[in-house]
Amino acid sequence: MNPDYRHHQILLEALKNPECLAHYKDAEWELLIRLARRVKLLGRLALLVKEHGLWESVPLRVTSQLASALVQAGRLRQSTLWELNRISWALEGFDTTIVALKGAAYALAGLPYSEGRLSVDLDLLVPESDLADIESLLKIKGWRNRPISMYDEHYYRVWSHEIPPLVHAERETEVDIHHTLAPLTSRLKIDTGLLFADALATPRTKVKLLCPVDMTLHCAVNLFQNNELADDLRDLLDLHDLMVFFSHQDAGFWIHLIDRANQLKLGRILYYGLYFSQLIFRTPVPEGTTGRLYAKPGSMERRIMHWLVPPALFPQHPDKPRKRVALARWILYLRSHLIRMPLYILLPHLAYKAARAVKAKSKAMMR
Amino acid sequence: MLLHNQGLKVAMGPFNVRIQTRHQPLIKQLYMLYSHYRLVQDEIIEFHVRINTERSIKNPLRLNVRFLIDGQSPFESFPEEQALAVLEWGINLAIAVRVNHLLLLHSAVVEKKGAVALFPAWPGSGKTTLCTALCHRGFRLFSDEFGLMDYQRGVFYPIPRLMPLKNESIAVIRKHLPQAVIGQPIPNTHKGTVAHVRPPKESMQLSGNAAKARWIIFPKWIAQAETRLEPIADAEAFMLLASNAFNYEVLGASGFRAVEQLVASCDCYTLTYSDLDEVTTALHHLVDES
Amino acid sequence: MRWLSDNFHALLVADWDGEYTVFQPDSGKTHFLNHMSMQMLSFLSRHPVSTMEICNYLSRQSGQESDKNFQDNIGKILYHFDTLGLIKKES
Repeated sequence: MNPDYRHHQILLEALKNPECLAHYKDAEWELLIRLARRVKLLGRLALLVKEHGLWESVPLRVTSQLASALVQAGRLRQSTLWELNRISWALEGFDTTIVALKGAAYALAGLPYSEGRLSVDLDLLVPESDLADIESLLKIKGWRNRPISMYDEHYYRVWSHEIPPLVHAERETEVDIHHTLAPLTSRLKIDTGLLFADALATPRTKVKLLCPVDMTLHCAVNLFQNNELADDLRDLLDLHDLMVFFSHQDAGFWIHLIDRANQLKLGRILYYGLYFSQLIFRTPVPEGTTGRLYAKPGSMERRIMHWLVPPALFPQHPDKPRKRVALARWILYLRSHLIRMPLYILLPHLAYKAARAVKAKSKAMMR
Repeated sequence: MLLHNQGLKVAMGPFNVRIQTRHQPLIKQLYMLYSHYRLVQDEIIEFHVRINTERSIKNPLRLNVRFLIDGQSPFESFPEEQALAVLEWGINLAIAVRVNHLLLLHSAVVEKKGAVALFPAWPGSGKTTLCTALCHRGFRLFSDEFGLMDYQRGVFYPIPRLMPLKNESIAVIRKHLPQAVIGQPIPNTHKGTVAHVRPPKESMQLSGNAAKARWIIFPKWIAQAETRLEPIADAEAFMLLASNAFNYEVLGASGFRAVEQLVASCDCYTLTYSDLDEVTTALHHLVDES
Repeated sequence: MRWLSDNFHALLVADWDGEYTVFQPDSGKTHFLNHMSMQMLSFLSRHPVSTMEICNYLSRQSGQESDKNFQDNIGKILYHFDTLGLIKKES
């Protein structure tokens, strides 16, 4: 794929062919750092520089920023895993299944480059029938709901698929406990029973992980169903990493992936996952893989997504944002909410969200 | 002007910063207060910040300013008169959030005889006022806000910048240091009235010279108090210092070891004071006798 | 029911003349401990012990009588250390 813009190229080449970093000039490094930071890939970049033996030859003003990102990633990873440790401790004796998702899961699964991943919250999947008890037990041991408005609380409990986030009184890690992987009100219904049935144990904790194909599918669901896609290049890279990692471990991975996607009715989403991962990161997906998917998006929709998605995923140039990209993102933002909620709920919700947009952005920037 | 296109590129201690704005009043203030900063050419810049103006939604006749870093706005907009304060706070925030290859102490730092004294911040410390006085009277300014410690080398890096005086301190310093260059007072900020002091030229010129810490002094300004320096227990100094660092926990074991090294190698005190002349003399005495 | 501290050896300890600042690597947290708390942790690192044994040991070490007050305090510290992950119940 030829990126539209020079700055996309600077970032993409660094991620795909890190050897080229040996030839980057100061101006390119400066821009690369700013772009990588925007899409939360500074830690990844740091690991790539180290892996290719370039640390000593890269300018000091660059390595100090890379080092800072690694320190921060390490700390976030530690906080997340410790939070998981404390949650297991708090739920000691209560018979349930806790499945770690996203960043914590990648760390526990030993996904390459997970030490450089900037992941802030802890996401867990538990059986719906145990959710109320789990929330009570955690609150007894010191967790509290993040203070949120009644409106938001309603959104979380009824419309979304989470209880409001929990935070322990003495720590900062936010814990999001899910009982399904897609919003209750969306058309997508994922059979959580199947996910639990195939979940795998971890060596040193009581926590489980989704099996490889489920972890991969969840990543795709998160990217194409739940999110607005703005600056989410990192999440697509996660998807690419997962597919490369698991396919190396198991030659039958691709077949299982398609079968599972069909079984869970996630064909459309996986289609997009495979399409964009190949398009942008050249993921080695075997020929004919997507042919076996039952539910593929129509060609019109595919063309629209092809036009909309990459500009949304890639970071804007920090000094020269383009209107066309803003438009693409706006459309995707609407789409993501449309998928999550019926229109009659969506419009009042969006009006409320618009009034609070700045707060969310500044919080995101702090991270 | 420079600021419109390329932006004003200056070195702030170990970091290079590019500032862009079209707001004329801010440009004038920067011309006066930033005059001693080293201008940067052809070097990598770590912080790209901008002050934009926009119409207030509530009152379209008023102009507001907004701080942006790498094109993103971390906080809400403010009345235009606060432009300089907003710029300085924004840069502080950017440093505090991004820098993790150094231990960042929230403290004033001054140097004499090749060694550094740290004045950790806490409410009522008056550290900025104290620091302003000291760096015009025989001490070199490292910073009134950030103790930048390279924990591998065990040294502090200077980052002399504008010192924001608040409320009554402005008049106190004007009287105490008639030679100090102070910007226009900015009323009604969330910290009250703020006025910025230009850092002394010599401190700026020596900002490449790092130094190790010798003294850790926890200051407290109390009206009419006599100047008193009292030793403080090491364990207490440790906990106070650790809780006073922006990124102590982020640094994990390295942060622990760095603070341990500081407390073990420095003389730690609490300081109560009210009179700037008296406290300046006392601190010179402390340093000269060590 | 017995307590133990199986990660004691991993702690980074700075000894300031009988007061301790302690870094706990798995949580990344730093704690301030007095002499008795430190002794308690060290005692628990050898092998699992019951609350009563802890009280008796610390009573001997400190010269304080192991009355109800003393035992209640020990209980509170144990609860707090358990929450912090410095100690755990023997499984």
